[in-house]
Amino acid sequence: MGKVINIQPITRIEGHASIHIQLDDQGNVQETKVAFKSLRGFEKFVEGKPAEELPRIVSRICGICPWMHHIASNKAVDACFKVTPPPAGNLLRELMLTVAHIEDKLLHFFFLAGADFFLGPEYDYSVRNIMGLVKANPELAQKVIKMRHKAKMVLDRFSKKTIHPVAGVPGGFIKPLSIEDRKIFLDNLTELLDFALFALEYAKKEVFPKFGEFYPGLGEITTGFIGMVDNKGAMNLYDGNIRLMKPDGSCKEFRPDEYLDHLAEKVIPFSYGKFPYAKSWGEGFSMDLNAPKGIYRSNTLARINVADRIATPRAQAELEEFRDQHGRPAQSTLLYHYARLIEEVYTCERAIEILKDPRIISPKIRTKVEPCAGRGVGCVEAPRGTLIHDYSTDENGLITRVNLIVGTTHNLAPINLSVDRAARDLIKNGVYDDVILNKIEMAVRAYDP
Amino acid sequence: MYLDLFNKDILVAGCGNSLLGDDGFGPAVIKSLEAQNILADHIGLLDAGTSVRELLFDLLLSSTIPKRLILIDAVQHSNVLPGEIIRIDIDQIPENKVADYSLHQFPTINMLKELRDASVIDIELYGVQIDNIPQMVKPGLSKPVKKAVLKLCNLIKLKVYDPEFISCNRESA
Repeated sequence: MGKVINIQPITRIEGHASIHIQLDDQGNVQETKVAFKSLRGFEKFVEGKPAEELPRIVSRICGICPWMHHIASNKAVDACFKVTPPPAGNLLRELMLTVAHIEDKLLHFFFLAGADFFLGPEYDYSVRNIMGLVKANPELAQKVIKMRHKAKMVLDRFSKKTIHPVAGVPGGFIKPLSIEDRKIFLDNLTELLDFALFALEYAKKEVFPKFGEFYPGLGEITTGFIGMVDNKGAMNLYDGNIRLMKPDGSCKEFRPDEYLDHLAEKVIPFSYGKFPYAKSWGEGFSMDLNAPKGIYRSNTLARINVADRIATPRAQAELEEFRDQHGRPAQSTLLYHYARLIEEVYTCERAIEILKDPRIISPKIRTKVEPCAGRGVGCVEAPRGTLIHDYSTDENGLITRVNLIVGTTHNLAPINLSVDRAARDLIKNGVYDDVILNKIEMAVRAYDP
Repeated sequence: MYLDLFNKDILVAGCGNSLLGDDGFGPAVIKSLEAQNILADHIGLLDAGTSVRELLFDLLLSSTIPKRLILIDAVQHSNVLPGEIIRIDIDQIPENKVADYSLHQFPTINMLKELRDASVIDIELYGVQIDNIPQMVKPGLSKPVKKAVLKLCNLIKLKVYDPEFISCNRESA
């Protein structure tokens, strides 16, 4: 038995994610495992609770995507109680979701993944961090900080509670948008769009060319993809059908409440998180690097791949340029970052569209709800992928069953494959160093887990 | 509001998941201080929940930040009785590599150190020794940790009105 390499973070209780690389006697990679911890027992815990309480409870599942859980949950409860929010209620929810995406993508690209690209993986770990990045490129860092605060201000000013939000309610939203806030938000979003376009141009010049030069084929795998589209096949983060694309580019589309006919989850001994796979492909599940089965990916690259088009002009132009270069479906793992910045342009454009929609300032923001028996599936696109909340209620509106598929979990199998690919390509004859181990981590970071 | 908290002189943030037993200590302390409603305007309270890393990140990158940050969390040390409050020295936390895959990795000692070293904020970190953090979702504090909520609230109230603590000078911090 050869050496074992563990890349394990230190957290309060146990590691939330850890990479385990088993080498053979010759020092080559025999096996890799990436294990993730997840909040366990949530589905059981909420049984018997009034469904209308769930949107407030689920925002505590994840400290990073509380808005997405909050809104998916509201949509699921709407469906259980058979209500449709008024247009303003839906627009306000979509606005919050969209702005939360804007903020998240800036953070991820520039500050989490950014240190690898702007400073390089060979940089000493102690300075290859946020402050190192700020020192290396203070002008850019200050711009990003300013823009991130502009997005945060929209969420903060309107909802009053950006951490663990409570502003969405079954049937709609908790308060209407004032004309004054609308104007302030439009000004902020216009600046954010300018910055998103600048960021994409900057990355095309300074970052994306490095992918091929310094990290050729890093973590590259071939899989299918998943994401939501509207009824014209355009990317949609708030509502629509789920589209599941095979590795060859062929697609099947289904309503979110039909997801169980198409997706299944596999229990893997080394991970608390269950691994979803494409049941409807009829090939089962396998993480064999040379012949993966049932594996698809979520998150930015997936959404860019499954959508026929993007319904906003600047993002559509960027998508066309991306497809001219990388085809469809694009498979390179590092292209998640490119797709992330195209989505940043889309989300800024879409938020402006929503704010310009005259219906958004309507005071009619909520439909009255009456608890009843039903089943509801609420689906939105979270930054890390298609987020599914599936609830059933009894005649008193109490929860009888819950199933959640969280964005990141779609990518658990692909992350394992990408890390395996990267480790096998980079570790040879027992030779490895911090730079190599960081490159392996980069394969994880691309997915923004 | 969240961003307004950055203009306060002192920010008290409770971290942890209130769905997971004693891990909900930090949010419980904030809830108790809010309910008492006795703190002056220059003191901000935040239930940071599971988003502490994002808070630290925002503090790291903001031009306006509090002079003092008091962070409250649940900890698991050996040879410490459940409910005991421990003041944690950031420098005593082992210098291990802390993964930076994503914001899901917390509590992120590296960011605390970066924040302390790179900015002029003074950080105090308090932990309560847990009795139990369940493997499955189960809200509710254990008896000893529930008792510690009031104890830490009193300590914080004394602290934030201590003239020496308040007079903390940004330049010298």
